[in-house]
Amino acid sequence: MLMLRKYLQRIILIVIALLGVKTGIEGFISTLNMHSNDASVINWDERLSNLIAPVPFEYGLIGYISNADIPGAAFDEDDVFGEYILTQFAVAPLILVQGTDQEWNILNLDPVTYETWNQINANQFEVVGFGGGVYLVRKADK
Amino acid sequence: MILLSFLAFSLPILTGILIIHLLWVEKKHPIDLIFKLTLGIGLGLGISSLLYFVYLIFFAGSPYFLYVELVLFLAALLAAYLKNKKTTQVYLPKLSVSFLQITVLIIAAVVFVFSFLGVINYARQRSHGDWDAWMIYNRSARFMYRGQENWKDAFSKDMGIIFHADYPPLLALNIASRWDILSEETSYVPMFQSILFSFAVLGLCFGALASLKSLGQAGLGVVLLGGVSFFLSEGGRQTADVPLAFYMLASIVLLFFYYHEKRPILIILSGFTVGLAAWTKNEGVFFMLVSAGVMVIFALWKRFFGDFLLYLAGLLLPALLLFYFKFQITRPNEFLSGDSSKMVQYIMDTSRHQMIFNSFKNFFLHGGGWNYIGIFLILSVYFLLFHSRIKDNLEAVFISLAIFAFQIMGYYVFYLISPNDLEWQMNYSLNRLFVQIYPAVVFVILFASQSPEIIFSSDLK
Repeated sequence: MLMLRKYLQRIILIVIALLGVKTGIEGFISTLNMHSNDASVINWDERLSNLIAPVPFEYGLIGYISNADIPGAAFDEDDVFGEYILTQFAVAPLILVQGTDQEWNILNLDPVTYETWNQINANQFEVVGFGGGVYLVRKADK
Repeated sequence: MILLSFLAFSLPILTGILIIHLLWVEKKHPIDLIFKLTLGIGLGLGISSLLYFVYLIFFAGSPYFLYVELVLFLAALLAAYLKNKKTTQVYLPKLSVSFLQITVLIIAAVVFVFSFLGVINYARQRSHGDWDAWMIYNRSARFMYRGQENWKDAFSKDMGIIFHADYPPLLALNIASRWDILSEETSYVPMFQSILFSFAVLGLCFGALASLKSLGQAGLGVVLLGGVSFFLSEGGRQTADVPLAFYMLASIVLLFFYYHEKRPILIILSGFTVGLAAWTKNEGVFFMLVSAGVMVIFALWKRFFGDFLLYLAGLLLPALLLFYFKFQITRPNEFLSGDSSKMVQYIMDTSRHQMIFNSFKNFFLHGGGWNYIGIFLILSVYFLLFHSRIKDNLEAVFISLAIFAFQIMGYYVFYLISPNDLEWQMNYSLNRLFVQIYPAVVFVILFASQSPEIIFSSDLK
């Protein structure tokens, strides 16, 4: 019985070793063909840092809205989420707050949705910058 | 910049290694060096992060942190030199390794090389890391580095809840301090930090098992860590799960060394690394509470509080800084700031219980292992088949198993009261929660099991 158990243990150890080697090699190979997301991060970083260049302060709050904040606008939930994260990552140390209550605001809207937003908010904001589908606006009365 | 970024970590790492070396001056085996090196990496990075936090509180905006680290390093170097002088010269013992051990070590080396290359390649392809890195750690680091005197904005209450501004700052502080030293915001820094922790976890598990058990068991530990995709695939993502796994493992390993050697400094360090776990991630804060709770129960059972007090002494500094961070700098956690009546409603909701239980069950049966067989199921069966009569360190085994049990129960409760969409949260995080405890579980299971040397011996006992 003891011998049988020992043989079973030996077989299990050999199987674990083989599976470990196989998975280790497969894991490495899978990283050779993986998709890099660096370009999208760097691209978003550049776009946003150019966009916010006119903002006259380095710290503090800046507003942010996307298609998801405009009633009736079409949007992809993953894109909205991802772009919100990347925008905060890019504009640090400015703190993004949802809405357009701040003096300076970023509008991440597609052209059609921007037109809709602009009709509602005409004369309240002045567009200070635009690039890659993202707008920087400033409250007109400030 | 690649080399400079790597060198930027050298001072805290060398300081950590020297501190560990001071504990075991007499240990000079090549295997012991791996243990010292890897434990030192994590300890050094942890100490540096605490130090930078204190530095920011008093001197934010001053570019002298490098000199603070240099002074600490020189102090550790001097202490090591003086202690080495007092210690009788120990010659390197001849390493006697059996054929079986060489075989296991070769297999472990193959697994290590490929899985570690996988981590490096992942990190290289995604130099900015993954979602959590942008959302939490690297974002916070950018706030600190770019904000300087305004570094606290990284943890502002105004920040959207999704950015987890309340998360403990170990990783972010280390990234920001390296950027400060380099005067450049390079993505190599978070990349190297994540690679260093991945390497340290493997090395620590290997070195500790080699010291306390056998070389064959240590090799098997590397196979079980590096040879399962669910664990090391996290290594290159620049998230906090592998660093947290490192500190959890370190605290358990140091506890084993304490019960083995009975030197008070070891349990103090165990407490300190528990504190560093809490300084790394919110699950680490829970780990700290669970560990301290289990130590209290154990002290009550033994009617001896000496060990527990030493443990608390080690925990004190990181815990104090953590409380200051949590109560003075950042916002309340999303779990704790919610509506309590809603929490009660969640706890009473049987469908939530069922969903969480099923997810845990599925992960246990099928998650993280090989050929759709769960790695925790494999480890459980392994322990049943391979467990050995434990001659020493029985206390450490029981304490560790109790900590794991309470930690998993805690994960269950967190899901239960989570204000987020439960299905989304479980899909997104369950795997990673088990990544956090996995190295420590592997270490304890292998410590309490027969080694390959015994299994392949001709002796039937």
